[in-house]
Amino acid sequence: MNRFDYVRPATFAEAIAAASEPGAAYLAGGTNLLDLMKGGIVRPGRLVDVSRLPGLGAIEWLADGGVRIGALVRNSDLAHDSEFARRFPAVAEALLSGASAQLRNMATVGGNLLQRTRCAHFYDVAGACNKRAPGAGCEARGGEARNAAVLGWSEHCIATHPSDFCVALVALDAVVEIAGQGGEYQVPLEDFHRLPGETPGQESVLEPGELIIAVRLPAQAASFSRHARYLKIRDRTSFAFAVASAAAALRIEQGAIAAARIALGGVAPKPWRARLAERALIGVGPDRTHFDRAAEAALADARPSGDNAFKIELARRIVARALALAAAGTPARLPALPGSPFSPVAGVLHV
Amino acid sequence: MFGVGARVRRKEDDRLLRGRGRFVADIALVGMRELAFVRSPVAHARILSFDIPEQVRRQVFTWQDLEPAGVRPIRAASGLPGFKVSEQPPLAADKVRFAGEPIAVTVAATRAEAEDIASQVIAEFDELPPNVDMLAAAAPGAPCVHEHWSDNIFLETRVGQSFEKDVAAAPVRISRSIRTQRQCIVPLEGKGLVAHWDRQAEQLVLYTATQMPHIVRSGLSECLGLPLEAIRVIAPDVGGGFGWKGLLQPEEVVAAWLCLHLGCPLRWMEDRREHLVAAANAREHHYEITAYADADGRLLGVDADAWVDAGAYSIYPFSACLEAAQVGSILPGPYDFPHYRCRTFSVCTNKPPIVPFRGVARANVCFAMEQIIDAIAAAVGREAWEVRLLNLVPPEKMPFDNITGKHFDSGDYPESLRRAVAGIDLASVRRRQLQGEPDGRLVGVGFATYCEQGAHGTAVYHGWGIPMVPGYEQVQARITADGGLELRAGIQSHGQGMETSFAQVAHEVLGIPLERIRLVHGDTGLTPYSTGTWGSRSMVMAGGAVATACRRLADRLRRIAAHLLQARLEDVTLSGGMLQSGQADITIAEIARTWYLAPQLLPADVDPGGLEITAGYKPKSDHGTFSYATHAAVVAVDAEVGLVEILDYLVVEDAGTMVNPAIVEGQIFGGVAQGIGTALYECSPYDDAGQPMASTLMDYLLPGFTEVPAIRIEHMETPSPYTEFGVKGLGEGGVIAPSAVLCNAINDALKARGAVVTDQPVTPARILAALRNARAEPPP
Amino acid sequence: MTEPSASPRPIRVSVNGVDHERTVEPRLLLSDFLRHDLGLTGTHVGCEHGVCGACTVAFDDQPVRSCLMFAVQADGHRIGTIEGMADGETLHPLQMAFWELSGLQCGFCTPGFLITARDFLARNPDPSEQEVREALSGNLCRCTGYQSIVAAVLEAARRLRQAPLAGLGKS
Repeated sequence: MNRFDYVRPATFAEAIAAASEPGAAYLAGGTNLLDLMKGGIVRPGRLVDVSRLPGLGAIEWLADGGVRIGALVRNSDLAHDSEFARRFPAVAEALLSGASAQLRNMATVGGNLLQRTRCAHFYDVAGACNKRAPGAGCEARGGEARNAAVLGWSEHCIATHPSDFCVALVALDAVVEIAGQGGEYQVPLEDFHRLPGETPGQESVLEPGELIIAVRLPAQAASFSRHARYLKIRDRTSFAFAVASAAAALRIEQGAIAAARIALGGVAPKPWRARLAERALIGVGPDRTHFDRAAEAALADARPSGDNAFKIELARRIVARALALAAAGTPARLPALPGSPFSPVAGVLHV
Repeated sequence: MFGVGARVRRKEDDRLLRGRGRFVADIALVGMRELAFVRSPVAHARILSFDIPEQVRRQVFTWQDLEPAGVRPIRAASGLPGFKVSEQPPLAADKVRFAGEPIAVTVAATRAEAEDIASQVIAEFDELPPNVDMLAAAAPGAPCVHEHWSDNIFLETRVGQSFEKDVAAAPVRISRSIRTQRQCIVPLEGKGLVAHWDRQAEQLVLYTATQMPHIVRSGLSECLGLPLEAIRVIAPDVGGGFGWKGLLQPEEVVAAWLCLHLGCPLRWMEDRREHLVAAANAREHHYEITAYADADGRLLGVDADAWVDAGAYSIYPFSACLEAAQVGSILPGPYDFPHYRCRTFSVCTNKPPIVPFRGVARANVCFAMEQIIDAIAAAVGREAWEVRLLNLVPPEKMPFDNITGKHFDSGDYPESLRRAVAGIDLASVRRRQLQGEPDGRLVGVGFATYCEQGAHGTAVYHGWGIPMVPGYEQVQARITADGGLELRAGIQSHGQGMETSFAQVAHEVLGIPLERIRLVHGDTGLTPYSTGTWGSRSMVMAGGAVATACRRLADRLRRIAAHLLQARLEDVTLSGGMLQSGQADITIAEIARTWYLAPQLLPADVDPGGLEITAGYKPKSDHGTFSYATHAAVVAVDAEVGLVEILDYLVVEDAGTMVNPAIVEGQIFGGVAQGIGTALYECSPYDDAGQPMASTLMDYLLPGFTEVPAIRIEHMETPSPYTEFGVKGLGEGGVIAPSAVLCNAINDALKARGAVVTDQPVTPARILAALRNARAEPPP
Repeated sequence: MTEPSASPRPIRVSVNGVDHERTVEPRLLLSDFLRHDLGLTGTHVGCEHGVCGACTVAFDDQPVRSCLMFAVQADGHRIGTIEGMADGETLHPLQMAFWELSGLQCGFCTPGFLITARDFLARNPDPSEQEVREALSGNLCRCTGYQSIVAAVLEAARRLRQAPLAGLGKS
């Protein structure tokens, strides 16, 4: 790991000034950053440790029923906050399906949004990667691409965003609060991450020195709490990133779907909101036929980026199944294996 | 109560539970410096030059430094005719042959600084086309990994003759292409070493995480030109091995030489990326098998070609062809049939070398052969277990010499199968399949039966051509002046609990309490020569030597006791640590005190060897022991997403007499878990350029808590007729069958959709692909 | 504000109830700090990239990966390691259960399991088997197949419910 300057600012202003220098990076939980630094994938010359900045560690309930989650709230504290889990069960389930208990105890809300991709070529410093070294080329394109994108990718990059948390957040219209040299502003999470286009190294709207200070969920997001699930297909249940995942939330009124929220993970360079699919569900009954139709709509623009055509069909199935799980109702207690398709289904015999 | 057969708590656990074990990374010596290796970023290339910044030049070493100093390449020649010898300079000389091969080493006060320097060393390469796939590498015209060879075949072996005319009328003919993946071994502790020069002993002392300290010493002696007595190798607490720690590493040779050259202690710790991309791998096989059977499913013959991707170099001591040579001799498994022909190829590729991973070759041949049995059953319309039963060697034929000359020592193979069929409740699974699952998943059941040769003897290893043939296994036993017992063995216990199980054996013979028995192991300076711990041999071989040594000590104790008790020798008995004759008795401690402190009381004809013995041991048969088992599993396959859940897993096993059933069960649980990894998760893929694509434990997926189900074990216990107490080797057994069982169970589940999977690991992608193909081509 | 510097900086960390003051390079990992600077080698480093869980320590009572933290991040915090788990010579009920139920083989991963399981049982004293498996699924073991570990944690939970004070360790 490279040597670096270590700065521990006392105020936002100090932090932003220190992190605006070229080669600087913020350090919060560090769970992703340290791994990348160890592999030489990123080599920041300066780390600005924001983990002790005041005022970023709280879960605040807003007067309108929304919630404001400080950027330094740890993933585990948020997922285990009973009020939060009650109002936003799909978000809690997504959080608990991600990483491992030890990482969730360290990883922060802000850091989760800024996770880097798990593309093996991004990690292979001996090979070419446009995200790591702009203009170097993409070795992932066209090859074995189980973990690569089928939506939103470009010829320059087919890597996926690895977060589970963000998938549930983007479905529920989360908003990101950002502080920078020009003051504070906010961006819908859906617009926070950029598509790769010709500049896959630019993954978000953040300018140098800008800092995520909070994520907000609107009050309306809690109106889905009775029918909200996160379903994640991964190659093993213990600590693995999604091959494909979906957050699904429904508001069902008098037997018909009044509102739907759907987002996909593991299939795109950013957490992928499926608005067309949501619209396809308005006013229809919560049944498999409509869910399949919504799933079709969710993947309508998908195309393989390599040997991963199967992923399009897989993602459709996950969307449909997540909707079916959501329609069946949020379980009273989070499943023992959050996000897992192995969670016991009523009536299934386990030997 | 504490002897052979007792489920006692392990002696080693107290220190391990408190974090007080001493692993190699825990050893720090005064003035110690740390090493980092520069590794080839490319799979196949000529090294043109090194660019080393002048300010760190004295902290960087390459083959240009080692070779003039007399360091020799690692050579592991097989004794089998036709074997092509590879020479592996511990730092690449003029050519690199796999990505990750060490090309330079750096030295600094800390590991971080050594890595800083390593990052500044730049090599210029002239890249050559890499051999990535073994079949392409074996084809004529492939670029040679070793440029002076005529092709990329380390060795071709042949067993048996062509028998087509004998089976021309066979009603069943099954052909399969079967592929198994390259695996990394991944003990939780990687390799690591500390080297220093002991000025007083005038010895190079190497602490290293190894399963075979004596063999590492031999290898270092060969490569460094040092006499053996000038080298001491010590394996401290070792965090799992499974075969990966059963070789001489290039890094060990480099560190040992540098220690001599620089005169200061040195430490190197393999990091996990190095383990995954640059260490030795295992298990990458390709089979083309044709089996012939009669209309009942009785095997008439098996004809196979097998390729093993052996990587770039032949590793010391097992060589590049142990895996393939084993395939030829063990492919017939536990079955009795009349015709067999097998050709094997150990193929040299631009990938890391291979080491024998727990269940070496056996896991692969079981995967291949047990698929064939299921396919025959499908062809003749019978339950797969019935076809197995028809072909298994029956107990009345034991001991049995099979078609390749394997001497199955004892047991009732069909009974293990019958108990597995009953235990897994096959009938209820079949009913459940007819009913269908409420959640739409597909349920299947699978079986696999295997036998596991362990503690292979001298002739067996000589026959496989490995340069290190084990002979008599020796143990030293010494009764101390206060009545304790010290055992010294050249094996190495790294999770197998031998500090406990050997003490149980000694206690069984001498009656000395377990807490007064201590095993010294893993140190060439303190123990008799041994080839080490591998091949399911330590309990049989070294455990047998413990028993032999203790029996001879008992004899000497009785002789002294007879004199001290003024009794006749034949009247003196040893029981519970006490020697008795009639009403008179004397403790072992009292005899020991007499020998050491009051020798004037000893009989005139006392054995001058005293209370210390070195005993050598071999079983009565040199063929090795044969454990066996049937594994059975029920799985649910989610055909929408390709995921497999293991609903039930049963092992019915017979490893002869169990010294400590808790340890035996632990070996089985752990072996099955590794086998589940082989079956469903673990894979080290390479891209077309020969780059390893699994460089972290997020890419190389080990089974975790939620992947390994509760495993049920039923024991059978047929003592071996040839070994002390009837024990058989069992350390590898658990890992052999799971991939076959799960593949068969998955295929049983998929058969409703006409889909078949043949390659391992059986990933969701493969299952979905099989289902797609089945939709495309409806079953006949 | 501290001047930016790659040079060593002072930290104070409480480990197993004992305060330690050291000066460390910013890039020093917490795991290396514990092992090399403090000599607490019971915390093992298995993968160095946060997957295997062998290096798990308690950070303000919550299990974290010490290989994915810089020592400077622990400045002013409490760390609990395996060395603080037993009460003198008396093993923690989890350690006893691991011993009696064969919850370890080579012992390399064991400290990480014990630290993780201690926290889990503090939060969930009466877990189901599946909950135990999920809670510990961030720790890898290559020897045991996990089964005996599950049994040991369930047994320790039972004992701790009967004698909850036995589980208090130092951190």
